[in-house]
Amino acid sequence: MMESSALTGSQKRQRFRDIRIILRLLVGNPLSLAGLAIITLFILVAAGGPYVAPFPREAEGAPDLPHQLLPPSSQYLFGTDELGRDIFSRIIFGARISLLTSAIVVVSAIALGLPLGAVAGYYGEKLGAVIMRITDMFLAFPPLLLALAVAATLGGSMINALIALIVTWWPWYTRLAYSQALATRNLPYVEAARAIGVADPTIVARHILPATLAPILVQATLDLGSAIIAVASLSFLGLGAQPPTPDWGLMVNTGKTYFLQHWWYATFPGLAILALVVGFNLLGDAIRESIDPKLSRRRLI
Amino acid sequence: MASKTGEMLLSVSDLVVQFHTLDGVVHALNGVGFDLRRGEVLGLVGETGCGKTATTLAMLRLLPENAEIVQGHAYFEGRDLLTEPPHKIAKIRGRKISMIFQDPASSMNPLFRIGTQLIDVLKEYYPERGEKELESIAHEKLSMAELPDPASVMRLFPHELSGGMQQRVIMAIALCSSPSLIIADEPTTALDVTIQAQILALLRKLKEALRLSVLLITHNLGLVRELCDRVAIMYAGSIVEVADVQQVFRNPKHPYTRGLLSSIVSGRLRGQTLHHIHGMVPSLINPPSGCRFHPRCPYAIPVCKDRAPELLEIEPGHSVACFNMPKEAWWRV
Amino acid sequence: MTQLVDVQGLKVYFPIRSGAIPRLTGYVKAVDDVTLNINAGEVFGLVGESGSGKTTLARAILRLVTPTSGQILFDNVDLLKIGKSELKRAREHMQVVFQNPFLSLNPRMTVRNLIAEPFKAHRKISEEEITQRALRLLKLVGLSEEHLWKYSIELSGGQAQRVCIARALALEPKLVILDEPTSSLDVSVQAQILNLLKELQKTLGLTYLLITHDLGVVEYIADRVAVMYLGQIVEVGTFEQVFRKPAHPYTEALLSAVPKVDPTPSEKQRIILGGSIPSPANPPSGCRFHTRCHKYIGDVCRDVEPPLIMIEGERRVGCHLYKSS
Repeated sequence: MMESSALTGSQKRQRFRDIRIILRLLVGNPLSLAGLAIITLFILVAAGGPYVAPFPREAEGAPDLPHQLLPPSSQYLFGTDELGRDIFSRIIFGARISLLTSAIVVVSAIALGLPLGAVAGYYGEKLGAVIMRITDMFLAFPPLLLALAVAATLGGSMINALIALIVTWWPWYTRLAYSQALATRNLPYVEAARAIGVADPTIVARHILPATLAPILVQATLDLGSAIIAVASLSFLGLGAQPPTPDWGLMVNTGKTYFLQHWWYATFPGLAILALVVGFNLLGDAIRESIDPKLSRRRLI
Repeated sequence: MASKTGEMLLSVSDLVVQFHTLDGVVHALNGVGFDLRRGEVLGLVGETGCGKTATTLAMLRLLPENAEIVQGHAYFEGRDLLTEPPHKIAKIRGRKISMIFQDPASSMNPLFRIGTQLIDVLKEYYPERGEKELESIAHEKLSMAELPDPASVMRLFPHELSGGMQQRVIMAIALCSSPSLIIADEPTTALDVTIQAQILALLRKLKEALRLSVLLITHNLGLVRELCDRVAIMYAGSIVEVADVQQVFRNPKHPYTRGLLSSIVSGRLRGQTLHHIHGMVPSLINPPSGCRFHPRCPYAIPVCKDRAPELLEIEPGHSVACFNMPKEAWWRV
Repeated sequence: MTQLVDVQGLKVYFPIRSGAIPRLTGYVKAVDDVTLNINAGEVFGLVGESGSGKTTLARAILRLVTPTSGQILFDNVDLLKIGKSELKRAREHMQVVFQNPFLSLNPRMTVRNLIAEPFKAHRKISEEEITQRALRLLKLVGLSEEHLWKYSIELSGGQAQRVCIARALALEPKLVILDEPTSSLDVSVQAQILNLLKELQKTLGLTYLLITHDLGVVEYIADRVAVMYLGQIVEVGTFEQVFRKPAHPYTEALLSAVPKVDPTPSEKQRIILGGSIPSPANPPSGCRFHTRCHKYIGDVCRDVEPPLIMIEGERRVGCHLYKSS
């Protein structure tokens, strides 16, 4: 029993060292710090929602007609829209939507695409060929057009927009996972696992998938930014969120009609999209550096 | 006897290099110094991490960004390589000092034919000559490297040649500028045994014919025995012993050298437990105090922990950095 | 002496497909009709240069590569004729240690999980028990508890190779295939690892198939040796026979090519072979070595493939210079 608690102690010390290295990398670089700060801000704001927004009911859609289209002021920080609703509050509530929907799209696309790519890459031959040809078919379509087509067919609603995007996006992860799996399956440590007698599915789960994770995680963080734009685009075109949802894309869409006289309506949601996407891009680069085990324990000569 | 083959070509002294890494400062080189004379082959021998490659990179100013040359001199043909401006060093690199690395394939551009790459190099050194002349000089260099049918070789791409032939092409390129010094870093390690023998014979021939001066970096002691005139043994960033090749193998003085030589695997030791040096190569982020070898040294005495020994000549041509050396040597300080 | 491994007529050919519309244009004859046997409890050395097929032969025995034809009897079971579950059981008894320990250990797994892998694949024991066994194996190879939770990149070359050895011994195999086990290690670390391997062999009664190009290592530890060239065995014998009185010209050249640290006065002039090693996709006719042989007799070497014949006792050579005893 002395022995087993001594083991845990040594184990704990090791884990602690790992976390410190990752944190040091994430926080050490000013750009990644900025990205992290932006995202954290938005997440907090989104979570805080009803408590942070000055006009929560307006954010959900309740109109306040006497205060239509007012410019930014101390009471209405970003001005009001055509129904008198506080744009600042709507943007706060919209953050929740943007973060959630982009996360759903990316996570689902990965959940669908990653295993397919890993399996295709590891098993190769016929199974791999079949999977990859199907993937190629999807990749042949310009992404936004395919999403538009699917969303239009299913009808305009947030759920349908998300489905459309997931269907459009999974092949990119499959291809990424496929090329990583191809590179990994010939590595000596995978051969060693086969020589040990580990079953193929276990090899895929234990050795191939984690190796595909690194580039995919980077891609995923960047994709969260793209997903926000994609969801906003679909909403902008009327195929995603429907009024009165405080979706940023929808707000830009409605706002564009009023743009010339009331610049604030479309501008602030647009800036919100910009800020969040930049935040994800900065973070994506930082994560790449911390995930790669060789890079994070840099040793020279 | 000590080979006083010629004038001093390269003289390195007090070289201290550090690397700034995430894990701390790596004290890679701890006062490295050696001499190389014209016409001699000096072997720089040591295990992984001892600093032999770092030494040459420092000399050629090819160290990575996080490296710092804290102090030291590297006099080559009258100039200190460590203080010369970058554009002057660029002229020396590849011209007066040629390099041969371990993996020949990665030293050549896979997209261009051998002929194109050779002629590109020759254009630098013979700017006034025409295309035809350059081609025949290229043929000459390839023949010097004992490549059969140079004309055909010129038309091939690097990947169409075997490892041994690639290394010969690299040697031909290295000879293009008629360099004063060739630095060869593990030139035969990646090659098969029978091919190594060919390259070794070629190196020997060229050494005789052209009176080449070579700084040979390797961990292969057999290669050192067969090719070098003198040897410098490195351990954890310091030179611990310098001697003529015969002296080092017949009469090694430094405990590390002796440990190294006696742990070489050979059939003669069959049935016996192999001797090995206890412990491990130390981390250079927190190197041992005093003599860096003292934690593993069977002859360590108290002073070894406090001060680092200097390289002192104990007999003509044979220097050792160890406090256990005969007292007469210390008298001469 | 019981035979643990009996390889008969093994051929491993890799098809070459080339052309705009990929068509079969030839074969890389990596292993071409190899017959050899390994006795239980011995250290069998397999030497050769690139293209010799020694690594492919090892991978064929491990069934990491599917041979084109032939027979591999391991403990009297033909590895090429058994099904998946039988093969899995056979795998418990033959393990492998590769050349580069950092490449053969998954850099994202701790040492404990790396050693746990064989247990997880073949036995049903608790996690706690696995950790205990892993610790015991680490101690067996000269490491300690603190190494259990490290990642491979935090270890030195020698330590990482010890982890590979510990992993290979987890299921108490009969045969351990060592593919260049010390080639990527420093000289003094090589000595440590070889001492360890020798000791383990004695205490655990293991059989080793040692594949290497380092003749010093083979001469030091192997009982019997086979020399391979371009997919074929050219000479087999005890270490004494092969190293003291090499029969095949290639063996002679190979032995003389190694740079000596301590050249004995009686050393003959070095034999330098001309040319490069031919490609296994296009091997020379007749005796494959005839294009570089310094003892070339004549047309027979070029036209006729010499069979592997017994010349004295158990010793075999494939060369026209010899007549069978």
